Amino acid sequence: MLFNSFQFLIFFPVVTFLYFLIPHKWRWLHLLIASCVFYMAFIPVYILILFFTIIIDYIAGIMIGNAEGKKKKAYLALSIIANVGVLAIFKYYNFFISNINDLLHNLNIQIHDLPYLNILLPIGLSFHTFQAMSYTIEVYRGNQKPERHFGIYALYVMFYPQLVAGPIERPQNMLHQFHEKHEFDLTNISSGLKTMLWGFFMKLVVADRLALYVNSVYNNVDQHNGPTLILATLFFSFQIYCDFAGYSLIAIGSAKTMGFNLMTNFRRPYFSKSISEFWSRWHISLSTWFRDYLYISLGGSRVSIPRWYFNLFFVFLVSGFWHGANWTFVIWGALNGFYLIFAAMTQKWRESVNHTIRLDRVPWLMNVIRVITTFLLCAFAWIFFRANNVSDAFTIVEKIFTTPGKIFVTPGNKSIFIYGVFGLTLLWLYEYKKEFFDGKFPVLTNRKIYVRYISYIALVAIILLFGVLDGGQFIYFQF
Amino acid sequence: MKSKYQIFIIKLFALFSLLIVIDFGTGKLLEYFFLKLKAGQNANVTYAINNAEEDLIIFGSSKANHNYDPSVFKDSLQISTFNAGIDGQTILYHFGVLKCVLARKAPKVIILDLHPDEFELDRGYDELSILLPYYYTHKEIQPVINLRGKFEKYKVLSGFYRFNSLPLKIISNSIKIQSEGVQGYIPLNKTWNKSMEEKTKITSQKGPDMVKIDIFKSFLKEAKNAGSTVIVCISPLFEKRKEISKSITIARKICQAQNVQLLDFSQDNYFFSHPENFSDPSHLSAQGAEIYSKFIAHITKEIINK
Repeated sequence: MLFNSFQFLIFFPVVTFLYFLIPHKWRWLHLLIASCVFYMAFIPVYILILFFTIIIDYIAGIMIGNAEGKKKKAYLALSIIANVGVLAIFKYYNFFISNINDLLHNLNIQIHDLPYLNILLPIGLSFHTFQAMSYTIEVYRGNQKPERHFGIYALYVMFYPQLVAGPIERPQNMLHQFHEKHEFDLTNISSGLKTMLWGFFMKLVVADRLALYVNSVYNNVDQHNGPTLILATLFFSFQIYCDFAGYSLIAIGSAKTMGFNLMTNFRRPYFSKSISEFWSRWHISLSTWFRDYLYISLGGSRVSIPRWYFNLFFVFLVSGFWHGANWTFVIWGALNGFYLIFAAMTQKWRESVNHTIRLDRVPWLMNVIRVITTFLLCAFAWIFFRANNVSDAFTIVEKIFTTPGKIFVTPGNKSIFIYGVFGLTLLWLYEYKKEFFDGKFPVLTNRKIYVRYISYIALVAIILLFGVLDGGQFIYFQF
Repeated sequence: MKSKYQIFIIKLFALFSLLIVIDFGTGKLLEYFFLKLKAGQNANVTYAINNAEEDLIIFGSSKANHNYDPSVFKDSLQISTFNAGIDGQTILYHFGVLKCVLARKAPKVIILDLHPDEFELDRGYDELSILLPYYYTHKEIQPVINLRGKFEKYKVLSGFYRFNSLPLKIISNSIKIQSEGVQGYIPLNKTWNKSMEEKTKITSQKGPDMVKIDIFKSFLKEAKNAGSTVIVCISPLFEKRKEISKSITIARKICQAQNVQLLDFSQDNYFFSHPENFSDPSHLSAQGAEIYSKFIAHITKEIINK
């Protein structure tokens, strides 16, 4: 079920209302059933895959908890193989087969093409697989006791707000919350609804509006010039942010209404002053997942410098691959890894340049330059993330530097600019206030009831009047 | 003393009541200005739905809109003509508008320009949003709009929803004035100068849309029952096709069964040899539209005089 569907408009209040009506000891069942309904709204049969990994990891968790030494390690390995195996079959099998077939053709080896699997990628597979894996890893590390209640464990993987696109939670943060009794709390409900409202604004008013322009340009790369491609790329930078951060806010808000606290997933990433800061603000639940379970396992930064660079690069390469079975994502990941290594290698040199030209004496200017530079680097990398294929991505990069011309504007897409810029302006004002004046000039949380009510109604009106309401999917669902 | 639940319910009720009032008021206000628009695409739709009483009305998508010059029909047939073609629309939209036209007065002649892949196109339902502002002013259009989705009839209760993305158009087109005499027709002045492509694979792998086929049948039936002469046309393409599309085959069968003339110009050799008559492979230039309109007007005359 999509958050931006009419079904969800009915589903959400019914589930939340029933949650508080039902006695505490049955609430887990209510949420589990609701989560099944939510997931089965997409492709019902894929819930079996979810159950498969849930059963494997539930048993693995208990076995790991009871075992010691090599046995403990073996159980963890089995659980990871099962999870990664499901991912490999459903997400990466056809990608590898396609590459092997291409390679054989290029080498002029005359054999029949290896067969493809005619299957669709289950929605949000990478998200709940990673969440399930974090459970067995944390049990192995002794940070989490094995969950004996099968229903609660299933709910940990399937909790509907974060089931299909995160935030990717940790068992230490979530499992205990399912055991606790959450009282009907007006503060939680109000806070959750406001968070959801802003999430809908980001998704429907900004992301989906900008997507209309981005899609028309990126799906016809050959027909557009450099300035148009630059604008579409800048628009995509905001589209993907508002699409995914919007989803996260709706997830966090809907969980909050029932008293559950999900982790923050985005903290105004485009105010970052460096790429490493960007990654501490963007898709935080995934970045920290890779940090905790891969980067640190590889040795993190407590190794030789070349090995540290390798660790950084490898983690981002895997992160790129996590996003999708396409070389565009791998290049996007590699590019981000390269940015980080380059930043680390040139840090001292950049500091000395800033000192020489006395930029470090004007901190605000230096910060503005750093924020803009970081944003542009990210935007450049997004070209590879959004392009339909690698060839398109390189065509875009080439055209940006070699094909001047007028920006593509038609009478039909003028409104995209006007509504899009209107949405972006509101977004920027909100984020700027939150970044630099947090707690000041409250609007949605103003003490005066009339200010609050006017702001709620204005936001609803903006969403319904200026949002794109035709049910555009969230970009991250495909991952 | 009121409990926190009661306070919550009261506040929620107050907020929703306020929202409903503002939504309703805004919807009414936007509707007032929207129906008064005199320029732009929406003004053409409003005219077709509210006023069009011409003797000949042309229905269709952008192909209809750019390929049929009403002045040619007026001169040739000596009857008033209106071009109700709208970019990106399908038979679903045409049927909605037809219902409104027939509720007022049946035209003598109806020309329906059908897309060569009409029943296989992946669009048509979302595009019906162009009719949302008329949901409550024209009851006959409601079943067509409801095809957008099973919850559509509830969504349209919101005034904000019905006028979604329209405020800017309402403001900008309120101050413009439509040039007179065009009768819905928008000529394309660009000329196509590339060579012709051959299309071997036709449209999507999905089968034809049964809803659209049924609506097409209803379109022909209701127009004929109202006493109109119906002609179905498929405009010229600058694109050679190796096979006839499923949609044309289906349309031909339906037209035969309902005794309606179908004129297929999609693979016409005269137009293939005159690229200057095209603006792009799917649309005629102003010059091409004039020539094509003369062809159609001539045939229409013969059909009427039979």
